[in-house]
Amino acid sequence: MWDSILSALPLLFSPAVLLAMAGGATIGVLIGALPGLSATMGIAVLIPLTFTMDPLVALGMMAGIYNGAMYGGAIPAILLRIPGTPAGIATVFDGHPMAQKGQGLEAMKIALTSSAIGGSVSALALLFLSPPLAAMALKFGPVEVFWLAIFGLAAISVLLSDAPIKGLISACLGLVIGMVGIDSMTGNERFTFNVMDLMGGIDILVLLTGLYAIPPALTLAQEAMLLSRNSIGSGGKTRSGIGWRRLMPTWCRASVIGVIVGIIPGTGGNIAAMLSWNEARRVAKDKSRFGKGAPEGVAAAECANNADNAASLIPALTLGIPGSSVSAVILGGLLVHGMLPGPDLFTRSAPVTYGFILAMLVTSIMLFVIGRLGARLFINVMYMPPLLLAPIIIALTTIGVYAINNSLFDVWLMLTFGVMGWGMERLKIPLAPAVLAVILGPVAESSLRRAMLIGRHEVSYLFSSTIAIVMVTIIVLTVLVPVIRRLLTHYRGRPSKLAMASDPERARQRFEP
Amino acid sequence: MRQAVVETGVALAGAVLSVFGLIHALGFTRDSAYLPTVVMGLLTLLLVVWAVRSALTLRHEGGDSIRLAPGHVRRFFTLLATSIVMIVAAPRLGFATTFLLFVPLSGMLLGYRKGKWLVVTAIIFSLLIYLIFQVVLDRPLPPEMALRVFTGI
Repeated sequence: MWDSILSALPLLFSPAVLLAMAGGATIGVLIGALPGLSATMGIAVLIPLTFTMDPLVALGMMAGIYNGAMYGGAIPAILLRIPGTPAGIATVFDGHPMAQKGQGLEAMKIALTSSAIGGSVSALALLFLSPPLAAMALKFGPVEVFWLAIFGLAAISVLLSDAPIKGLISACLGLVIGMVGIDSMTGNERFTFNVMDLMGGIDILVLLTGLYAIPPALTLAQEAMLLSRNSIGSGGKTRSGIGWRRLMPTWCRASVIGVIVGIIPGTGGNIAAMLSWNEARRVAKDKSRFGKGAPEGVAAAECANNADNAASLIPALTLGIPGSSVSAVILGGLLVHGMLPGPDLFTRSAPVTYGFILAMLVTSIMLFVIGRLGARLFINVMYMPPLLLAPIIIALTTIGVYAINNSLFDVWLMLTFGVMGWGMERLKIPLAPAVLAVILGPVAESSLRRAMLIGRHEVSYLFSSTIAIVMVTIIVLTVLVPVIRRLLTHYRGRPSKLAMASDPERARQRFEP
Repeated sequence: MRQAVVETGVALAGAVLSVFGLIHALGFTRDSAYLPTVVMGLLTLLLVVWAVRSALTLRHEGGDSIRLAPGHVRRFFTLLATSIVMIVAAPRLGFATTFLLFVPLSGMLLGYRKGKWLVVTAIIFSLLIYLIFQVVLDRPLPPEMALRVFTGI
């Protein structure tokens, strides 16, 4: 591992990669600061543009955007009471009251420092936990890989939505999209309807860009939220002095919560931030300060949602199972650059993989500098008119997708997926299971076929190893989670903390003073 | 309009399409048909269950309603329509040239009224696109009409 890290360092500190990381972090903060845009959308728009770049330059930029956007979401959460990203919801609780007291800039400083600390801890967790997990994945045969893919799909379909049936519908749609094209094992056409452009299958980039970049643009134009200078304010000038030492225990707890939540597929930064904020309030001597502008509340939420970032990539990089929509998009980015997730990533592509992991660490540190220097710029970006921003996003994605294969068909397909994604969001059907299914569907199918060949078409072969039985048990438990949640809600008469954390609106109603 | 009405309609339409998909998948050769058949069958089942649940919600509670302001609908379709026109025009006019027209036109039709900013944004954005894709990344894109008009190349 250390050899790989040492070989990655010169690549990482080349001028192009450093520039890409700094640019990515700045773009990320700008994207996060704009309500309605997310890290997932930013990376989805960027991937087609990085298609021709060196892999580490492209991945360094993605790392910057990911970390930057997660902090950027705190800016409108603090100043406007509107979380820029879903993970910023818990920041609203104490961040906005601080801004109302004239401590907006202090709240932003706490958010920035906490984000940088959370992001760094998460990157270290990714660096040290991934190689052993990848080594373990080497022992997996086709049966285990099949069940692992099914587990990934089941977890994200069931846990990501309040109505698991919608998550499963999304996963099935993704599986169908993943099957379009010529079957690599038999050479037969599937769902191509004799359309030549569909013979090669649907490019993951076209799907990602369509599902994650077009719906926010359509929503921006539709809702046309205009902000006046009065509604934002300058962040305030009151200086009460931040007790940095007092925040240290909060950062430690929040980092651990963020990393653990990040590793679990189907969760996300919003859940990490909510759980961490709740934990900070639980251990506080004076609980009544929370929700009224407690600095620990901002630190807990922001540290946890950034500690979730790199940790959510652990199952994605080692096992090929992205646990969230943004890690699914990053996985798509790796695939575009010819890097197959799994143990190979840590052997054949080790320098670039470790370079990317270190980029997650470096961009977390860079974020601190960029956030301090550009605070005023990031506040001003919230004035950007959405009615002008929406066509720019559409234009950028159009040329980005066209440039991949010089195919206008891909652009039409992207727009179709975009409208489909917009409709799915309106119907509260999660998008992530569909994307994950496109990635995992072919993996599951080829592993199943190989397993059946080895097992001479005996279904019992699928349950022949201990790992397989453990995985099937976990899958069954995962699928039962909604039932358990419903039973708990029924007996307690109120939803569980996790259920509330996964639903920002419900969380706001429950916790906000 | 009730959310449950929309959900029931979408689920039923999806179920019908899914049945067609299932019939289509049954026509694949044996090895290629296994997963598509299972997935299309499961999708049909899930969509039917969703339709039934939405219909029951409608019958018992009525469910939440969807409120769409006329401005929301207009802006949504305006951006969609201008995007379609842009995609049709881009290979003929060149991408940067099309964006030079698309960005201010869409912005204006969506309701943005600061003319100076519309023009400035469109020019800067189109120039950046040209520089990034044609000069830096050297992507083989359709020739730019604006370049032909202004330089005669």
